[in-house]
Amino acid sequence: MRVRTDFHTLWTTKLSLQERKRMTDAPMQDATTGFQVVNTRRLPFTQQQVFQAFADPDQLMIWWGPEGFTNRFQTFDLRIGGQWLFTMINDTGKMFDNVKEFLEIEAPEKIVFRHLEPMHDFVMTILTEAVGAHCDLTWIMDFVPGSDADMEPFLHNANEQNFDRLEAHLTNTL
Amino acid sequence: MSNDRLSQTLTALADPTRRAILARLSLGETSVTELAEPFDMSLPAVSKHLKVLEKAGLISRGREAQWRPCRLEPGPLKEVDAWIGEYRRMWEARLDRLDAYLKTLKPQGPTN
Repeated sequence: MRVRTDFHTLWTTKLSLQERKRMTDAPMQDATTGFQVVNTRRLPFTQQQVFQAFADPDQLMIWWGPEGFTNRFQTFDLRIGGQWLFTMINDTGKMFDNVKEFLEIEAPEKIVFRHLEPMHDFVMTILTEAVGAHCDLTWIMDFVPGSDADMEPFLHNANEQNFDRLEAHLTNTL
Repeated sequence: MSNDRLSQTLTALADPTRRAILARLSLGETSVTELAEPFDMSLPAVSKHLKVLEKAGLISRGREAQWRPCRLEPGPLKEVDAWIGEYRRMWEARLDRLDAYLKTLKPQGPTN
């Protein structure tokens, strides 16, 4: 619940007045409410190690994306308002130009970014929490109103694959 | 505020950058990267404007191509034109009546 409130604050402050008004004035009962995709995993690594696996672009480009994807980074500017521009390439060679913008960074427990391209429009919150010698990693994707909620199982599965890759990367390098 | 299409269109048009994007797209479809070039603006910023225009139905985006080309959709602009057209007719009718009235005044004017 706390996270949802954080997201809501971010969302409303990032939008222009017109955009915000249109969202808040939209009727509650129609298909304009967004949806969430939440993934959590306990990793046998420290909070700092897990945070660093994202914050360091040299590591991130190795494990980011579902199974079969590789990445080419153009910009990784990890600060509030900074851009993250990169190309994801799937196993058939199809390319996806990504445009994301960082909204919040609180090392080592939180990173929030908005995904703008391609296709989807969502805000992703990455949370890390130290649990003894381990780390609980949580990803929350908040999709804007009007998004296709049928994608939820697909995205949840893709995020699990991404967690697998992160875990393999950390296991191989640490 | 109403959620009707005319309101959505006018809200989307109430921004100089978005109008400039529409002007660029009137020349033909293009990618987000190409659109961003002349604007001295970040890709995220341009993408946010495109999302507003897309929600208002003023542009559409390709699904297949990697760079998802943006295309101008004239439908909502025609509706704005029709709405303005109502007022144009009203004013034209008034000006016609003014014209007729001024013509009736002429004979009584100072003639020297």
